[in-house]
Amino acid sequence: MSSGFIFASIAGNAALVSFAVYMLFVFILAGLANRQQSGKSFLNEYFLGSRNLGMWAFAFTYAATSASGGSFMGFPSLIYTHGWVVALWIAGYIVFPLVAIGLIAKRLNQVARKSGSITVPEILRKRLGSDTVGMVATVLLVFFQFFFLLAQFKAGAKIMTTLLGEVSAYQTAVTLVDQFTRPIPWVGAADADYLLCLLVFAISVVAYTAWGGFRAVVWTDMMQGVIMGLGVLLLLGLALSQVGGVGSATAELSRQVPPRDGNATLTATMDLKAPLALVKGTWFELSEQGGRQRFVRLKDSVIFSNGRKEIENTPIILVRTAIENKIELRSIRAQIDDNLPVSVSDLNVVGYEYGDDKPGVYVSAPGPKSSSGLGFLPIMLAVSFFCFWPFAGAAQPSYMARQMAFKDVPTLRHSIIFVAVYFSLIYFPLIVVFTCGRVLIPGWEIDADRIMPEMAAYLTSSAGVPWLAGLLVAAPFAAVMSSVDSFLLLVSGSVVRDVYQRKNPDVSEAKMKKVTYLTTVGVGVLAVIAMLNPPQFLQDLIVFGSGGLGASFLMPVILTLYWPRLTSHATVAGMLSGGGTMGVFYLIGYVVNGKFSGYELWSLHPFIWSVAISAMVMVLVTRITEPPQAGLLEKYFGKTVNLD
Amino acid sequence: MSQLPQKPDTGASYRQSKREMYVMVGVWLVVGLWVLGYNSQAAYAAENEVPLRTLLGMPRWVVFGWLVPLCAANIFTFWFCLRFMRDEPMEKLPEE
Repeated sequence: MSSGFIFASIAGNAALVSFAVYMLFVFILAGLANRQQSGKSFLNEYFLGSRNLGMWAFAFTYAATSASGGSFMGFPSLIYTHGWVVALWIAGYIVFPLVAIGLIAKRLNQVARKSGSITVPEILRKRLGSDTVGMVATVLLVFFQFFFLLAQFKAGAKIMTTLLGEVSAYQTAVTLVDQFTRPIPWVGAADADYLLCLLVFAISVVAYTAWGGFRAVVWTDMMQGVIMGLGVLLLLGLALSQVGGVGSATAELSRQVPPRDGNATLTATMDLKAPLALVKGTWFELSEQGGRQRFVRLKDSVIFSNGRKEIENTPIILVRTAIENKIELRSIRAQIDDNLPVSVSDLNVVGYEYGDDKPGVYVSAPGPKSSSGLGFLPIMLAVSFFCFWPFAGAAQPSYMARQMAFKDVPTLRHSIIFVAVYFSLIYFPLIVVFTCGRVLIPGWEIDADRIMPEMAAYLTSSAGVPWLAGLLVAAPFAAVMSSVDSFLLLVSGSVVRDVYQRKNPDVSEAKMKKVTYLTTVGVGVLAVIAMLNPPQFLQDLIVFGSGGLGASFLMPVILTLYWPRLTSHATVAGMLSGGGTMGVFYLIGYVVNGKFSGYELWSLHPFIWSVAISAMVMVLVTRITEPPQAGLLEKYFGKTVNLD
Repeated sequence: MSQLPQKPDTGASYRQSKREMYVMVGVWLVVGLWVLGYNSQAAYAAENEVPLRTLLGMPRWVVFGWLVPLCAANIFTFWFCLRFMRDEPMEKLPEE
């Protein structure tokens, strides 16, 4: 196979069928959920499913919302690029279910019920008796959650482009979209295939979310959670059987060195009678050097037009494979077209700043990194992420919405156990699968975000079951959808409940329904417009969005629930200082690094600094402001309460 | 686990939730010390191991610094949720 894009070549129609069946089920569930809305308080049902989620519903919706596009696109890409060290990067997930759910769930649910709150800003506003608290919380929630939402839209559209790549009806549609949108300023700058998939994805997910509300989201989350779990376990079995066991993969991985990045000159070795297109991902074999077999892989497609003999400065990567790595060599050589009348010369490449020429870098810490001499994960950054995952998780308003919706404590207890087992069966297998991926399909540094669908396609085609690729790719798609629907509902809930209904307290239920549907659709439309020309780094957007939410809400929510002495002034100061610090660190990062990333002072993630500053500010402001009203304290903390 | 009382006691519920929170933060701290403490030596030293020390086919540090703490944390989670965490009666919702 000369094409680098395995998935597109072999699994198009199977993927289309899987996708169509999957979407059919999603809409059936949304329709059933819509029927449940009659005869119940609209807002309570639409945004919290009438707070009667049982164990399976609560556990699956929590797990599926948590496992977002990042888990199935960004995370595999990180494992593939940096190796086993990513296990240490995500070590906070070892205690994630216990901390992220257990830390606040029971108390949050109690306080939400006592105050009759539907959204996170509403809880803060009622518990602290301050409209300002509610407004600040709404603004921060909508701002950071919107970034998170944008990243998921991009992930969803990217998966669809992979999923439908070779389907002929899809290609015709892409051509039509291209003709229609090319003259339109800004919109025309986006790739037509991405644009089409973004629209289809957005229309589908906004439609079923707006139609069915929270209950539709929860039911589809359950289905999506099952697909994700099955998908990962299938991938694990296929990967291990094809690589010959994890020991075999680790042995080859320990001999790998990172690729070098740069450009080269391509020369036609014979007179070309017709234009010759070389697709992105095309491989060339060079001579052996220093015990390593060298290969070049194209980072972009190129065309030798009529009469052209040479193409200079072609972007490439140089892969240097240890000659003992039999599986890796076999995989690359199987993709090389020996009859291609093109040679490669004038290589101009640079190595990673950390890990170049260092065997063992993929099986140890800190792991290879192209842009930093400290490696992927210096120890202080590992400490940061160990704090980041469970605590930023605890402070995500989308998870809090679920924590307000379970029906009783036994449901919560059993759900924590379920999520602990479920995450163990998802995240560790993913690490194993994509470390095997480095051996089975090397050279995907050219587009690491595509490694999940490409790996699914490779494994299923090698096993003789290419139709299964569609099902496996439905797993990341389900992950993205289950996050997007939750975030959509969260943002629209905040706008409707905390802004519109506050300004129009006597509005009729029928009017509220209309406003709610319109808001959900409006948020979706805004996200599509913002993502027409998306930024490159999906994972950076996700970390910024979730980090910003964590920084803004972690300490304010924990102290609101557990510290009677907390004042409204301190909560406002805590939210603004937490979210603001996050913004400032990203601004510094942009100036220093020249790209959208957080500045890591002393190798600590901005989240750590933001939470520390937020906590200090809250304690300080609480101490210098008047204690809260006795009535509020008695309502939320009981009759005898110690203000310290 | 205690039996459900008939009526919610806000103060008792708050104090119990706080106790549970302290335990969870304590467990996070212990697991953090284990994972980061062990791996700060083992995972970062593995780069220079020739040949790489493996267990169950994986780098040894992954087993002792990730898999074993994961299993320990899961066992604790079972105990915590089934034995330590207390059921509380849920508040009735105010009328909309």
